[in-house]
Amino acid sequence: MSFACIYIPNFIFQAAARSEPELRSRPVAIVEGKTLVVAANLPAVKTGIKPGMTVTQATQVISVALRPRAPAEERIAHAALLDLGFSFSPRVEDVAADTVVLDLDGLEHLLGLPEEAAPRMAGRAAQLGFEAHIAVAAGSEAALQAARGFTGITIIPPTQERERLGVLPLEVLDPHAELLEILHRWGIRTLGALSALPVAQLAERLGQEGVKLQAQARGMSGRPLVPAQPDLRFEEVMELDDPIEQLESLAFALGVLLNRLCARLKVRALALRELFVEMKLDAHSSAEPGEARPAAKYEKRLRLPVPTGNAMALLKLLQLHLELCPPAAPVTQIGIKAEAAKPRALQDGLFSPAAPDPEKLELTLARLTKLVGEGKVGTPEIANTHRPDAFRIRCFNPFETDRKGANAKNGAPAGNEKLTALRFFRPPVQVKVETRNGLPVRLFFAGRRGDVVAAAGPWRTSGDWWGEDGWNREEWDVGLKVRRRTNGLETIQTSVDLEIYRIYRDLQSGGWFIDSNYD
Amino acid sequence: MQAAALRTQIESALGTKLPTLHTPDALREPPLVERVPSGFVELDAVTGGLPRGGITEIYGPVSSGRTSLGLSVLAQRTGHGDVCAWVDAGDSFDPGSAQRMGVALHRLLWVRCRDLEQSVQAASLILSSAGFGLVVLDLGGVPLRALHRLPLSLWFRFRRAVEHTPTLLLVLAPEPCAKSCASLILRLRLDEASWSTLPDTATFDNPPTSTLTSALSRLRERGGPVSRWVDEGASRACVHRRSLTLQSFSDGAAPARRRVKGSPETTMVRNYVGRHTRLLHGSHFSAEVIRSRFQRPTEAASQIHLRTEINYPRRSCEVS
Repeated sequence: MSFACIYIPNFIFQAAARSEPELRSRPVAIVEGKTLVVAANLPAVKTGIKPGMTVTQATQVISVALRPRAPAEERIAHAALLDLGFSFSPRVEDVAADTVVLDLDGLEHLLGLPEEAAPRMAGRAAQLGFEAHIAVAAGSEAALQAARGFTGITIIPPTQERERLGVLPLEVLDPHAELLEILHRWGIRTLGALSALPVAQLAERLGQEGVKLQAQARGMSGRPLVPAQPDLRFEEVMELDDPIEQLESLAFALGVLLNRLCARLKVRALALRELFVEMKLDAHSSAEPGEARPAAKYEKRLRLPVPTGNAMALLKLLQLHLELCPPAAPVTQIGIKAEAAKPRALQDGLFSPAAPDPEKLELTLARLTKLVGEGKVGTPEIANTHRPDAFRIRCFNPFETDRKGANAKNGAPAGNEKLTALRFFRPPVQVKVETRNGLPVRLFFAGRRGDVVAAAGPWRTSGDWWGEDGWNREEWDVGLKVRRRTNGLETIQTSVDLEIYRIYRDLQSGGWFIDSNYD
Repeated sequence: MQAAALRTQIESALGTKLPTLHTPDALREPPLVERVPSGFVELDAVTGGLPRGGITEIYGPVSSGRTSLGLSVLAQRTGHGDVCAWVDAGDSFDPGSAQRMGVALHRLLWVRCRDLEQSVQAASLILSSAGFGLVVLDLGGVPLRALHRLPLSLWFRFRRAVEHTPTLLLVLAPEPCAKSCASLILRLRLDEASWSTLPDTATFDNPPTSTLTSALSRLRERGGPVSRWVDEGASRACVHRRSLTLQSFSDGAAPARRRVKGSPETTMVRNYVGRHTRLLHGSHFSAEVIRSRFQRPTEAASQIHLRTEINYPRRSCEVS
């Protein structure tokens, strides 16, 4: 049996540094409220900054940058740490915000020896933006103490826990302040010294708490692992110091968040099916006179036809949507949430027809929507009504499995039968019609004159009389000899063609219209 | 001799760089191009099908049948599982017609453009995306003046975009646009539209062939009196239940009725032409292969006759 512990030192600073990796290289202190320094990185500590100092004292160090504490980012970092643990083992204990313990029992064939597994854990932690301490030991308590006490990767062979943990200070066990003071007065400062004390005498003086502390120091507490439930909520948040107005800067911030989110999904072997973007807008931004005050939030939901983990493609898609519909005010906070799903597993067949790449297709659809407008790109679906030319545009997704009845029905040509198609005029073209004996004989439209050579009709059609958009009309199929004038270089030529149109008389308004033509 | 020696010298000098010089057969044989059926057997017999990886242009005036032919190709491609796109420059595509012709609409991407410029940009985006089996660029309804302003370089660019891909770019236009960039150019023309009318004479004792006579026979079955009547030069007819008298109406004038007593077994209706019974049945087109990169059409096959039908439920013309 073996356990691994992943510990994130200086967790508050590391949670902030996930968003801004450049903070690691310069002195930075994290302040809570306006008064207290709660964390500082190593360069800041070297300049004299310590957690617990006041902000006033910290500001006296010129080279130190102060960052406000971001609880949302810490919450997200903790979720990322849990994802890291679950990517290696199904049994993970959530010990603290900065610590998880993994049960590696039965995973030797998958992860290999501890000497192979631990570096992989450290590498994957780096992908998620952490500098982690990893320890592997036979007991969970020993692994926990080793990860908190030693830097880097520590492997403790069985039966060597007492010897290896002996050099660590008592603070690693996080005892009560009173108990720590007593032990310090006794001259006990290391785990080894505490382990060497006789159990009976320790119990007499310090009680069960002292005995328990000694068992922890020896790495033999027998503490059971309390596994946490894997959480399938994936979200990333970024608090912005200054509101962002430019779309390019916004795209950069979104790119950072998407990279982190996709990395977390990847370690859990999942992909993104739906993305929800929520941005808090600057409520105090000035509006132009006469304009309404902008909303406090900007929300956008993207549903992908196929789960994907490609952060670049997602970013491009978001950029296109933002260009089409940008936020109304500067952005102060960006949050993205992902609905996870298993990645698409597709095996192309040798004879299967070619299909567009799903990610490329989604980008193309977004570009087309930006070009022609919303509601103009997609799959047509016939509406369930008798109204002429009734349809709606659905989202185009050729990767759905074939729906029943998706193919043509009720009139699909059988064998070699071919049908004449209609071409609609949207909106219908108003036309002047000369009639004789109730029959249309001549049409005038768009500068052209058509003599009717054959007419069939009328057929009455009407519907939705109970509503405001009812229709009531008389339809005709007419064949026209249309005279059109074409300008050549010098002469004017007149040609005559036979054209077949479907026209109708609106019985409500009395006007004549061209509905469509047969082609 | 000198020419042969010179050729040998050139081949030996450039042999490694241009190996095809040594394989003259490869130069004579055209590259293998996959063809797809149009859905019209007569057309495919002449053209061999529409070539993938190239531009096929179908042009003709209004009602020449280019949209019907385009939808037929679309039905073939979607039926085979290809993802297709219809770039509609004039926003005139009819989903109902497409469905009736067998197009699998869930595999069709319809882009409704406002003008020619949008349609060209949309086509470029779709072609660069790749993976589409058929892209139809429907330029019907675009003003000719705007079409004439399209540069030929645009078609070169489209041709390069589909070359060596399984995509077929089908252009429907009122006039030829792609010209030499197209692998296949077809010109369509409407020869005639077939309109049906009620025959000049109809008898009851024959199986009723006209709507009016079938209605009258049904009324007779109900037991009403049957009279013989004659309709002369009527422009409209109607049937009254009780008397089964055919009333003839002259346009705008008071109805004039003639009733002739005679044998109830035979009734003649003469010279009747009714508007309700006139139907547009279909159209006859002719297609001409103007240009084909792959084979030279014979003179006999230069005019290909095609036929389509109208199939709409409301054209039943039943009188109840």
